[in-house]
Formats: sequence, structure tokens, C-alpha cells
Amino acid sequence: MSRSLWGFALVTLLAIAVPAVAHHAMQAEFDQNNVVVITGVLKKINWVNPHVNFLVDVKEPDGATTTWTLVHAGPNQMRAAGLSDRDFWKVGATYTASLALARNGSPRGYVFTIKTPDEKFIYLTFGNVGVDPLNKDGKGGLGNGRPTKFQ
Amino acid sequence: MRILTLLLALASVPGLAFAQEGEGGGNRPTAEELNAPMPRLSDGKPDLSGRWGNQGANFGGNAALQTRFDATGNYHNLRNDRKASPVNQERDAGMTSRFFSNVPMYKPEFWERVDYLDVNGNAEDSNFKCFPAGVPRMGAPMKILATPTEVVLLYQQKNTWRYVPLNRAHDKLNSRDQSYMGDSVGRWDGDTLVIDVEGFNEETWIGWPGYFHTNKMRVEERFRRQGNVIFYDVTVHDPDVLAEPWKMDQRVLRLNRNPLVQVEDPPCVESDGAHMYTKERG
Repeated sequence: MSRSLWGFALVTLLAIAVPAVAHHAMQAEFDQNNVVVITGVLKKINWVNPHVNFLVDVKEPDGATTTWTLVHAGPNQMRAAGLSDRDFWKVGATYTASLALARNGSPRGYVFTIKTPDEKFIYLTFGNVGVDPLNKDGKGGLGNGRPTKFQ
Repeated sequence: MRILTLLLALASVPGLAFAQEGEGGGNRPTAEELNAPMPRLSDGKPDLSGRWGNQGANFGGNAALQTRFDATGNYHNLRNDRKASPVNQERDAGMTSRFFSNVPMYKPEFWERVDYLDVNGNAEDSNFKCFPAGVPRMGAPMKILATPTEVVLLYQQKNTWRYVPLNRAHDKLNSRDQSYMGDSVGRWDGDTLVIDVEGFNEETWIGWPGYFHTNKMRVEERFRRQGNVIFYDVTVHDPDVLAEPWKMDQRVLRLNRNPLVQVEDPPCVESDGAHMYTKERG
């Protein structure tokens, strides 16, 4: 999948995560019906507004490494949800995640579900969000922890 | 007005969450809160000092950790969006913002511009690019420090603050400057603190759906404390573009005694803009 020629002229900007109202413009950037599963090494966490993002190094089938950007909710929402503990995410460890893929084909996605190095599942979105291979019934019940082939 | 036409057709969708911008909103106060003894400053005026509003009340609490991690150690995010969809969340929030019954009434010739800004909000709304929301879109303060001569308003969002000297005229330079939060001066009208703000730039909006203003906008904020509750009213004057002053819906700020709620707001670093593929923003 070539990522070098994304000549889209549509340069629009993201909504800031305002408390009580999430103007994420998620739909403008990501396609919740185009879900991929990636596995890679957590390289860095950017704990910033308007969206927390994780950088994950993913080894592609041809051996090259691609750094994916995993886009989360806002940092205050993550904090309120109890996911900001400094010992919870392990930089350098291997994570698997299902993502709504960026519409422009960039290696970035809106996080649905994350599998941690100790085989726990972090279901960040419930319900009717398209096809989530790590959360097949939309209730977190059927996550099998086996990522599909890198797409 | 095509977007309004489209949205009118969708207005009957049930289950919309009520959306408000800024912070500091609260639920209906109890009689106990309203009847609590009100502290006063040495000059006899109500003491507005305190942590106000419910935003952040869940921050730092272990309850979230305990209830959202199940017995096996998996974590479940308890979304309350319609069909638990983040797309529905933003669409519902956007529609609700446009369908407030109380919207600023622009002169007829300016509605086309409001519509344009709304449709192109991903590019046109500076708040999306991490710029300050400005007064009054930034909402009510999360904390107030008050003395008989000055009031300091603290906001969690973007760790911002406003300084309000009391009983003096606007600074001639600052009030003709162009800033995000304007030049504020305060005075007492009986037991109500009235803050007059002018000297704004034209970068900010007064509301999410493209509600722009000019640099001649003047904002009047009124803080009336009763017991452990502050009633916060805002009136926007911008006669060049508004047909009449706009009174925002009253916000009710309840005294917040949670000692864990004051947290640093992480910096805003916009990185999604280059990846926006459509104009949709809710």
C-alpha cells in the first residue's frame, strides 16, 4: 500500500475536544466501516489535546517498518476513564489494535480496541461501529486476540 | 441555508444528547445548596471565591478504574452515544448545537456567512486549530479568586485565566486592542458582579455553528451567587451584525467540593487537519 502520493487538497482542521461535547470530526478523517488490525511496538504516547495519540511501529510483510498513529479520545476523557495511569501503557511493548482507517490512506486510525501485552482487551468503543475484528459482537465478548493479517 | 434544510429533515431523530460548550455547567441545584449561608468579603459583597461547576468531577477517581475493568482485567468503555457510535456522537452534538432554540439573531444579510462558516467549520473555526475559544465561548470559569478590588477567573480548558479589576474604566489601549479574551472590568450591581468585556479580535466565534462576531463586540457577564450556587448570565452586544443583543442561556454553577478535580489541561497540538477528507464535523 503506497502512502507517498496522497495529494488531497482538502486541508481541513480538527475539532478540539470541548468538555461535554466531542467535536472530533472523526467521520471526516476516519472510516468506521474500514477497520484494520495492526500489531506493533508502542514507540511513544503523545498525551495532548485534542486527541491522545500513540505511535506504534509496525513491521510490514516486506520487512519495512511503518510508524502508525493511533488516535484516541481527548486526554481528559482518557483520564476520566482511568486510562492515564503512568504504569498502564508500556512503551516498548507489543500491542495489537483495531482501527478505523484514515480515509486518505495514511497509516493512522481511530482506535476501537487494543490488546495489551498481557492479553487483556481494552474496548474503547461499544456497539454498532462497523466491523471490529477484536470485538465481534460489539460487547467485548468475542475478542479472540488473534489479529487478522496486516492489511 | 442548505445545511439547515437538511437538518430540519433530520430533526426528529430521537435520543440526542444535549450539548453545551465551555465548562462549568451543572444540574438543577438543591434547596440545601441554594439556602446555604453565603460568605461575604470584607466590603460586604458576596464572596465568589471557590471551585465552580461539575466538569472534572470524575477525574482522578479510582471508581472509574474499578468499575470499567472487569474481573478478567479487560476494560470496557461505557459510551452513551446513540448506538455507541463515535460518529453518531459528533453528528448528534453538531445537530443539537444548531437546533438550540436560543441562537444569536443576525441581521438578514449575515446568515449566508454564518451558513458558510458552519459548512466549512473544519477549516474556518480557529478553535479547531487549538486557538483559544475566547469569551464567551470558553464558558464559565472553573475557579474564581475574589477580593474587594479584583477578581481572577481560572479556566481548566487550555489552562487559561482572566484578570478582572473592579470599579474602574476600561484601559484605553487594551479595550481597543484585539485579543481573544478581551479587556475585562468589573463592578457590583447590588449583589451581582457585572463584568464588561471589549477589545476582541475576530478570530473567535460565539458559538459552534459559525456564529461569528466583529471586533466591536461587547460582552456583559453577570455572576449572582445564592448560597452555594452561582447563576451565570452572558449578553453579547454586536450591533454591526446582530439584529439584537444575544442573551445566552443561563448557566448554573454549583460549588464543587471535590479536592481531586483540579488537573492540568494537556497542551493542544493539532495534528489531524492534514488528514481531513470531508467537510463533515457533526
